[in-house]
Amino acid sequence: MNLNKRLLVSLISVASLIGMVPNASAVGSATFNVTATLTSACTMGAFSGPLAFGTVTAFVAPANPTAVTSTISCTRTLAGVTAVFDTVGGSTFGSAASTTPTGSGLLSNGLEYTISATLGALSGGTAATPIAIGTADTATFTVNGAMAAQAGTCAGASCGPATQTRTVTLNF
Amino acid sequence: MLAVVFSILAVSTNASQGNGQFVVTATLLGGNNPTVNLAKSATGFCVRNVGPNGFGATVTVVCSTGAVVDLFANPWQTPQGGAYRYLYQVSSGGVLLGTIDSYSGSGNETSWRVIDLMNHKYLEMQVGW
Repeated sequence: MNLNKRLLVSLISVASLIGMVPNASAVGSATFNVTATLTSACTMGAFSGPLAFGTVTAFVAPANPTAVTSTISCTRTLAGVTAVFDTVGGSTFGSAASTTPTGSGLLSNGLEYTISATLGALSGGTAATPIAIGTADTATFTVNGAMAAQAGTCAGASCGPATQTRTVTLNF
Repeated sequence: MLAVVFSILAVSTNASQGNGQFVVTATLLGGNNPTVNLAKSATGFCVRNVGPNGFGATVTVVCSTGAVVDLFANPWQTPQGGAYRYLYQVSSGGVLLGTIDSYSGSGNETSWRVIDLMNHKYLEMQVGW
């Protein structure tokens, strides 16, 4: 091997070594896991207004009040959501939890009323993507009221407006 | 340790329930007119005392609906007197009206009349003493 051949071999060897350095750096890697457990939930928006029977004349059944509504938002695809009206004074004033709960109540002016509700099907949510969050499934919760003709309780010519706050509980 | 327990309870509650509230309202009219239920089970009618300015006048209504079926004014019951105008608490359509319009002035004659208008009627009385 003459001098030129030795030089060429040396240059090739050096070039190979130079080329190996970046190749060795690129193959290093590590992994990690992302974890989360989702607890499903539902929320209720504010109701559209009071369930207002208006002015009720004793012994005359009033017209049914305008129904009140609330938008329910739940975790996407959550199934088995039901609703139940509150209990007052330790007595049950309504049916068991269902998608069509019923109940009744008594105002301070002695007027008894009944309420019934309908929970619509939850739908409409959009799935999340790697770059954006999703949106909830929603449904409308509608409460209707009714009042029979009755005497009421009042020491004067008029009593009211009597107000009672009712609570709806969602079970899921 | 206590804080951990509370946290666990909070998660459990949030996982199973959500709440919302609404308000029920009503104003009652006519609560000062006591109802005397006479043989309701037999007739379905209730006799209603129309109030302190009615001098014993009564109105008979269907108990369940309040629809008027009869009006009745008692004979004079007071030893004193005056001229009074009493507005029946009903209209011809069986709808209960508002407050009683009473006492227009004193008088010394004993007489009465019923004014029957299209949508309501009232009783005028003059009682001497």
